[in-house]
Amino acid sequence: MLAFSGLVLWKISVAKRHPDRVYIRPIAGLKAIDEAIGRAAELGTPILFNPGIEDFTNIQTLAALGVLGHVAKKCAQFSTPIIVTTCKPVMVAICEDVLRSAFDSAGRPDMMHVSEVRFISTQNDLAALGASALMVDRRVASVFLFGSYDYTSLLISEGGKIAGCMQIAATADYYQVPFFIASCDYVVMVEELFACSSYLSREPVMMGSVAGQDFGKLLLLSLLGIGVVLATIYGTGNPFNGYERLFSF
Amino acid sequence: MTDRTLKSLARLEVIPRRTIYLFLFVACAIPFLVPIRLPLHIWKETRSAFDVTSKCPPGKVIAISSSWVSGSQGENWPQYEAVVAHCMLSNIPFVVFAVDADPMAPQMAEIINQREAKRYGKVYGRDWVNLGLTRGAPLTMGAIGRSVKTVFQTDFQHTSTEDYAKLPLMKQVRTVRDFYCLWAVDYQPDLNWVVFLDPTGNLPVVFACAGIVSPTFYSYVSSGQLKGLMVGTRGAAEYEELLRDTYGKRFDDRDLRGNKLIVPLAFGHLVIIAFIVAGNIGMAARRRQKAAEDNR
Amino acid sequence: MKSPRTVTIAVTFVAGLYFILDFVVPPTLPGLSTRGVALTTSPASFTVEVPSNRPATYLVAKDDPLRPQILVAQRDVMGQIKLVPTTLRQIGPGSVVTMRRGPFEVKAVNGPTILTQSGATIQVEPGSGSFALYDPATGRRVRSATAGQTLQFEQRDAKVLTTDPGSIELIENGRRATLKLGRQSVVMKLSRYGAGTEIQLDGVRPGDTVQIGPNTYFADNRDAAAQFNLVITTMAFGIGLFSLGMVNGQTLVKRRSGWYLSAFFFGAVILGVAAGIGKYDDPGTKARAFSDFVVVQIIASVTSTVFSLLAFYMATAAYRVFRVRTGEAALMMVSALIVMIGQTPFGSYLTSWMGERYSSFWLPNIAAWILRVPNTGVFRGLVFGVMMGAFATALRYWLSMERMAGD
Repeated sequence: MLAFSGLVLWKISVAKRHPDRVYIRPIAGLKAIDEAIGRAAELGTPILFNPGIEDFTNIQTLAALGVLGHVAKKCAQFSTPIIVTTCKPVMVAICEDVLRSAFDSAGRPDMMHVSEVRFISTQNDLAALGASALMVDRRVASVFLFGSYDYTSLLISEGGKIAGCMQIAATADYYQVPFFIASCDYVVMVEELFACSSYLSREPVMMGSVAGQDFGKLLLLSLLGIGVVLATIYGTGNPFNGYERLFSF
Repeated sequence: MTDRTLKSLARLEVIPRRTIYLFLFVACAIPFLVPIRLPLHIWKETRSAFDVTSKCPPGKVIAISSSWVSGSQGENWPQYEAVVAHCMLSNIPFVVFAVDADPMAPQMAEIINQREAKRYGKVYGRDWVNLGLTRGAPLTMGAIGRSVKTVFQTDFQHTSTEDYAKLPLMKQVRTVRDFYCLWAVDYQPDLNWVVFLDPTGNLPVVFACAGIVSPTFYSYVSSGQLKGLMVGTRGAAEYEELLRDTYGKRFDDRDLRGNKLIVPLAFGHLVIIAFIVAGNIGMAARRRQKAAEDNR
Repeated sequence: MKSPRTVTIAVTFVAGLYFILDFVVPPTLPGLSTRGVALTTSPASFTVEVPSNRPATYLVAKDDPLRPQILVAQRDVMGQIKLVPTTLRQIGPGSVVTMRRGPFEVKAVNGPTILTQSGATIQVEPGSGSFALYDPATGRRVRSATAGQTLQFEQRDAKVLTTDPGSIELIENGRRATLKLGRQSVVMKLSRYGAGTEIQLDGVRPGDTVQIGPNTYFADNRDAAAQFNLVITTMAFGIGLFSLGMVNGQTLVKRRSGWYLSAFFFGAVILGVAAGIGKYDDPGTKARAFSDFVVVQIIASVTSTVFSLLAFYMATAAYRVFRVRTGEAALMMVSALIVMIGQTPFGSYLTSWMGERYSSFWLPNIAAWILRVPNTGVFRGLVFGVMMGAFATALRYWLSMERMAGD
């Protein structure tokens, strides 16, 4: 854990000193965010943001909240109302706070009056249906589905498809990705979710942490490679087996 | 192929949504009207889940985390029913609790517990205890492992868990060491059970999950962190088959939910496959049609 | 605005640090711990003073049939005062404890002295409020003891004067040594895999591998942290209901469009609460039947209907997406079809004619292979990525480096 934290912190400090040295490849789904908000602005209808089915103790939800902040800021620039739906009561206050600070920083605190955070139901499926109903009722132009999802991924995204919304989805629950691919216009896949807010903010600290996590992965893979080689050579039942003695304590 | 055939085949590429809905509805409804029984192939994961549970020695209890509610009852109900029937048939006492679930979860579990108890003559408090709902995973999971009665001071009916006159089973349930294994029945059981409930990793953990999320869990079965896996309605039907093999008539003369539900599921799958094939035929036909038009 | 932010950062950091340390730090201080194989133990003891009696010393030994169980009064989550068992380590001079001893069988009663079957004597204090005899079977108080009864006794409001944690004789690195325990020493019993659990001194059996050292205090408050988490998450439910009530109440009062739906909301809440009242009554009662009716016949049916929509959506989504446009798509479709058919009874129906010899080619077995081998490989690769992503995000939040739009 110390090694991974060290790697991430080291890359952050590098990025702070040389911001130009860190590069995140373009992510199509995130590039489309401007297009989606622009579409809503042209049509004069709101956008809908759903931060997944989990509360703030889930790391994907935290990543989604980062994106919500940026989407809200963009919405404030285009004067596009934003509706946030959630199935976790505790997320209402948190999402409101994110919206408020985003609107304040964009110099549009008045946007809070036209935007809203809706808690629909603690039942995920009912919350998904409620969100789908909102998409039709409020003629939502674009839908953002970021965060952790269960089977309701398809319920909510098909609802958006039928309502004719432009949809961008991102989740690290990889078995839900196929459903999003089937019904959304853009999908940010699996671990890319965690790079979203860094990619959008372009802050050296955030970009550095993404670079650090890639280095962590590299370290993990090399350890895995060494482990495979050692286990193959010195594995159980092998005459050269010194490996078990090495790690027995 | 004539232009007319190609044209009509190309129509398969864009079948209206409602037509697909109708076919699917009919396919799923027929097996409910006409009883059909299909042969089952028992998967390795289901068998090992069954074997782990069967080996529970006297003096130990099985812990069941039942956090599902009506949304996923199509899959979790038969699963939970099969596990409870197994415990009751082989006289294994069990405690059931829900962590971070919908408040309805303990009630759904209790409905099944009482139905099964009536069938097999079991008594609440002695053969099973429903500890109700708690929140705050994963920290709570660790707390359950260290002291069950600290987390669950009362059972679901607000009887103190230290009232051994009413709940004699609780006398032998103190920490995770009194459990023989943990069954987590949920749409998507929480992997934190593997890590937090028994940090030493000695407690066998078995999951019963929905079919759709099962690909996530196979890697934990192969790594040995999960001792078995019951996948969706299929898993429940297989478990019932195993119970039938073991207990014969004692188990068989009843309505087998998993076996009943697997048939519409199978028919539904066939319809979806048929539409996928049709869609591809339509696409191929349209491409040919377009190529022919371009050539002209 | 600077100081509240600094405070938030500090609190987040400390809370995160505690969570990590409580998970990572062992219960005993690493460099100062002794590890060895236990031989014998000399029991821990403590002296107490009770209001109506002179100081007495109690031994906490396993073979003592009257080994006292130490209890302290604590408020539970419901606010009620409850006696909870504690350990000698957690009490000290000045603590007020309740001691429960027994059950024991009464052999003879001689005035204020009870002689038990095991030969021990107990001094009864008739009329004292701090002393009570109980029948362990019923939990009722017994006024006077008679021979042949099985009883338990409780000494309340005892003030602890001194505690002696005892000592242990063990073999450490091949040498025999006697170790005197400190007041805050933790005794851990180690399993074969090196993982340890805390036990009391009288729980040590000869031959056990134990580790003894000063307490690191992290593990002690784990349960309190878990309870704190529980309280916070439960409070969120109240917030949700309040938020819904506010939104729907305003719609209703101002007669906005769809006000009848808000009225329906309040009706549903009342129905839900009414159903909740009898949900744990005994089966057969009217309240329970009503509750079961609402849950099983109404809520379960509604949510199952919603869930079943998924099947229809999935069918149309699969139809729309599964098109063989490229070679990869063809590969994906073939494997998807195999897994789909293999999971249904048709899989074995179609291929079991091949016989046991070719059972590897049965559709369910091919489907299982796809799930167990290629799927597992892909999944593990993804997990590495997700884990590292989650780790970096968590680190950013923990150290308050996440730049939200407002920052």
